[in-house]
Amino acid sequence: MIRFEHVEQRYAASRAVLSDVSFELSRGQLGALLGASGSGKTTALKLVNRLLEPSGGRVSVDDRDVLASDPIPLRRSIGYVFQRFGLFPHMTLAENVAVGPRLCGWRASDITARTRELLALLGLPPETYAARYPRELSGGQQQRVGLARALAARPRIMLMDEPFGALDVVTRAELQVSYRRLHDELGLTTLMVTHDVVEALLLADRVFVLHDGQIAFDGSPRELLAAPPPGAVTRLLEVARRQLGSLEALARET
Amino acid sequence: MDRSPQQTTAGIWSRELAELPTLLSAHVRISALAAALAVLIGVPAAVLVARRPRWRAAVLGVVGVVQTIPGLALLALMVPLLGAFGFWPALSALVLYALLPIVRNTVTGIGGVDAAVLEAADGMGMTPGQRLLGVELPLALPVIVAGVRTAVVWTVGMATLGTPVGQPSLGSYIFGGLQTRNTAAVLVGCAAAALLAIVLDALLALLDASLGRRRRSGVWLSLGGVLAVVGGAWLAPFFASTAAARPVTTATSAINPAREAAREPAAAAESAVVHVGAKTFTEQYILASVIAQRLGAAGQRTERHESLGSTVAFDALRSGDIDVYVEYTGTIWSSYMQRGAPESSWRTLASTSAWLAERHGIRLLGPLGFENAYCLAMRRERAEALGVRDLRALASHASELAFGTDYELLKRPEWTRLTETYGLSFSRTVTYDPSFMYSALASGDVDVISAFSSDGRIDSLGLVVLDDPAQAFPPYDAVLLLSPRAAESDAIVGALAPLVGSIPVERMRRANEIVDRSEGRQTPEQAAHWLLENVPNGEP
Repeated sequence: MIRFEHVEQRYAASRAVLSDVSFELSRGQLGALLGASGSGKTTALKLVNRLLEPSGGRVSVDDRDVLASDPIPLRRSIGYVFQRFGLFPHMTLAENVAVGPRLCGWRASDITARTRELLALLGLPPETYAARYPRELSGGQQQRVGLARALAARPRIMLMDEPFGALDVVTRAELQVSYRRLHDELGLTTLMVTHDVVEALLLADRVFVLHDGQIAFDGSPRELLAAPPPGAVTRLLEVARRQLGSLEALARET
Repeated sequence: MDRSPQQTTAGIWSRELAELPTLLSAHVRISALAAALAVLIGVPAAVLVARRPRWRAAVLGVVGVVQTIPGLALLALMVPLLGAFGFWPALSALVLYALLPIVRNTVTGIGGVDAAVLEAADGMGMTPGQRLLGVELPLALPVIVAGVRTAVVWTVGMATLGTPVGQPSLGSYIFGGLQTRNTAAVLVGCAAAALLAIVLDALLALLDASLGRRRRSGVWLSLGGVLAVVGGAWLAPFFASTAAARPVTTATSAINPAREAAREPAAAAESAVVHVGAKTFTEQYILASVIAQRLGAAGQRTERHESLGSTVAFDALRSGDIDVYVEYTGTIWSSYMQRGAPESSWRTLASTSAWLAERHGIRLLGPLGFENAYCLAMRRERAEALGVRDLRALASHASELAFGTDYELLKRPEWTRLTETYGLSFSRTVTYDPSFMYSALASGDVDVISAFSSDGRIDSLGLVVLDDPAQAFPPYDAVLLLSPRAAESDAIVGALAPLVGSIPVERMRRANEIVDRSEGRQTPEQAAHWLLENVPNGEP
């Protein structure tokens, strides 16, 4: 469970990135932090595993203030997926996936087994892929490794920073579906940052819209569709609806 | 002189090559240690400052400034700074020099690691140490290795400059060879240093490429190769002596003037080795050999330190790093005592002798019997055509004449006094290595040179020495100087005392000439042997 209470975040003397953010994501849910670029989504995500520390307010994970936890074990217990993959280029795929378990001090035989299991789970047969290097893979394959690496040390919580943003549409859709399934099967709690309204609506149990450093909407995808908050999200939804309408019209003509 | 050995080509080369194991070993030893230390200091320093912009700028600035100091000057500066000579100043100068490429490349390599990769390392819960060792250094390694490669090539090249500060190296071939016009020695020194640099560079290039392609076999092969080259060269003297146990004894008697240390027959019961110094010119090599032969005959073990810079030799004597060498009273008078107007020969001798004893506990054993004074010389036909016989007459023509000199004279106080006394002002002044100065005069590149009065080439090239009627140049009597320790040894004093007054200037000139001439040249050892024929065998 992830909870934000009146969180404020500002860098030095500049304007606050987050001015008063409160929301709560319950265990087992997949939450989408939705917002335009510069709305503070990534900042909020980094507060959860203490890559950043809040200037005010309180961020807690499983009812424990993150500032009371040692940041290193905290980060090791939370999976993190990066938009630009962030795979270690000098390590093979197997070594990349093994980083988390190794940091947690697992036994070598357990690490090997877990690595092969995860590569297989994400559609990268270890016989073919374990010894390859990241640069030999396509973007979609790289992000599959990124997911495998984040999941390797059996985290209960996942943080994802625009995980599918750098992928082409088909790959993105595939990976979205795969992840949603993994999330449910493994009983994870996931907080995902995205600027894609459709992704948030189709994937999340709960959507938090960040606007001007505050939560402008907090509810289920259904509620968001019914009563979108004024501003960027409404405009984005209109675009999506219009495109869908045009597509249907085009389909009827043929 | 009559029974001089035939100077066959094979003979010349084999004589030079006989010294190679010792000098190569010394060269590799100091280069390898310097490069290794530079890595051990440079990489951690660069890691510390790589992510601190202000410190990074400061550290890169400092190592960059060190780099702008000419190599020889940096080495020479280390001698007074460390108050030692030989190994330590050479090592520290080489380390300082090698730092720049290593620090710069390490900083660049670490700074070049993709920000997304660093974020991933932090996000996954790596500690700063784990991130450094597991991510940043491995990714920066190819760039760091490229820096080490540059540093190694520089160090191998620059280690040749260790010779003038008393650190034996392949530079002993080059400096000694230049002074004695021994082209074979210069070539051997240059070729050996270049070959060493090329081989090490190629092995490190393989390391670089193997790291880039993550080929473990290549990494081990190149590291093994580097170890084999360094280790092999390090132990070269050992291999050479076991492989050729018989011929070596005869080879060492045909000694090269510029090699590290000649161990004379160790018949002595006395265990202390007497360290004999020599500056960087022929006469000094011959006289060092004269001293060593005398001491050897008296049963002393000696070790020679040759091709020392002028003040380096004096500093080494003061600190007791060497025990004996030949100095000139004028040098002591103007360079060390910083005195002004010169005095007569015997007054200078008396005051330098007293000053050395009082100030430094150095004993001036006595003059050898000749002067090696600065003088100005011209080709005879040129001097006659101009009607120039002395420096007064020279001054009126100087504005049309070019002057060639060594590096040292222009920095000495007597040069200022000379130009002021006679109002000398040449159209052009060129500095040369002393051995090239005479060629420049002979070829007409310059009209006047600063010669040395005991130089054999004055006679062989048909030069005239211009009179110094105002006595602007101080007297330069060659004198034997003993360190405080050597001065207390009756055995040393007894062996060297007969040399006092035993070498008239004609014989010194002749001895210099037979080593310096281009045809039928002999070694300084042979010239020393010839000089000693006239010295009474003064058993005390």
